[in-house]
Amino acid sequence: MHIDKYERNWIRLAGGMLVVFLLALTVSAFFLGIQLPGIADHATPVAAAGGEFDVNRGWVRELAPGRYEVNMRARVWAFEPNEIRIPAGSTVTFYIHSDDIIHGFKIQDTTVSLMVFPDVTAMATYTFEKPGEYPFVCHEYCGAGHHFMSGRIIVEAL
Amino acid sequence: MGRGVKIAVAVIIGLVVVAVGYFAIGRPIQVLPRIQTTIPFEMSDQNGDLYRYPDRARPMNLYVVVATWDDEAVARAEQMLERVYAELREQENIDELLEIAWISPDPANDDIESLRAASARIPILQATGAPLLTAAPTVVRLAVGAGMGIYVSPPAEGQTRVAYEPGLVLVDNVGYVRGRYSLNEADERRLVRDLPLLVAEVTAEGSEKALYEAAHLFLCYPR
Repeated sequence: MHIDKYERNWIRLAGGMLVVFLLALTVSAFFLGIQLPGIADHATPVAAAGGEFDVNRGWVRELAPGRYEVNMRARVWAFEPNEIRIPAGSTVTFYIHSDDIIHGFKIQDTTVSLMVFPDVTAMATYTFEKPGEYPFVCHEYCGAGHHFMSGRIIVEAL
Repeated sequence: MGRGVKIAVAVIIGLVVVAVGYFAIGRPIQVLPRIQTTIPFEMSDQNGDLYRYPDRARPMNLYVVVATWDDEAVARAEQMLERVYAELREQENIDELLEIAWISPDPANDDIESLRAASARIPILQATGAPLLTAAPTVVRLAVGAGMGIYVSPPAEGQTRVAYEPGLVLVDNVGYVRGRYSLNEADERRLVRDLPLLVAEVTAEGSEKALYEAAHLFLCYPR
């Protein structure tokens, strides 16, 4: 079959791009710990409805020394809770739910970057080794007040 | 390359793509997510005997985290365990596959005597031979809090009992938490749905095991 030289080059380029994307996905998923939402509703926190830690509210709780759980509600245009204080070295599991439309959740200087879909729980776990302030933002455009949708995690030195 | 060979190659590639698509989207094999890893622990049972995890682990392990003074939660947990046993009755060698242990998160109020009394008054524990466990508060918080994701908080000022969220935790043979369940109806249905999936996975042999690993790779979780 005759293929024009330029067409063949474009096909090679397209094939090469697919290989590059596959490699990028593999490296980010298996070596950098970046994961797309997947576990969804199977890993929601154990919490009684109507109780102190109802999943329909935002909260932070300590499971054990150095181990925290954050249940976060995302809605236009705010996160609840929007300020979290934890000691350095803590491992935090975030469960994030959207109350309305698609939002994003990105914590600066970490590998935590999630899309938050309505009716699906996004989950990520991260260990905050260094004290400091870690801002988090919505990085999926969600309307006129999108740029206000942010918060911060304050990691306190022990 | 002849035309026939090209067609054959194209058909094979097409079949592979369709098969992978069906596997990922149709989900003929479903698995439970590997939520987190557990932490080894050492506790005492109602007879004062040592219970070590993972020494006592079986291919599937179901941990019930309920304080024995929490009557409402005890009753619900009993119902859920009875339902679990009713659903798995048909499964051969279920006693070899499934380990059930009841962990009290409140050692200050659930000492060995209390555990022994509770063991005698909770029929499902006698029927299944499941031990009732507890340990020092820090050990309990590490095992069920950090290891299983169940919330337990020391008694608040002026209180004598711990604050906690009762629940059940399903752990596999490798030590991954594969499911966490509250004591509500919806989670009971989810537990009953999940157990046969884990039975199928832990009893898989040979090339079937590879298919289950592929199902994890493609996030073939039950919808």
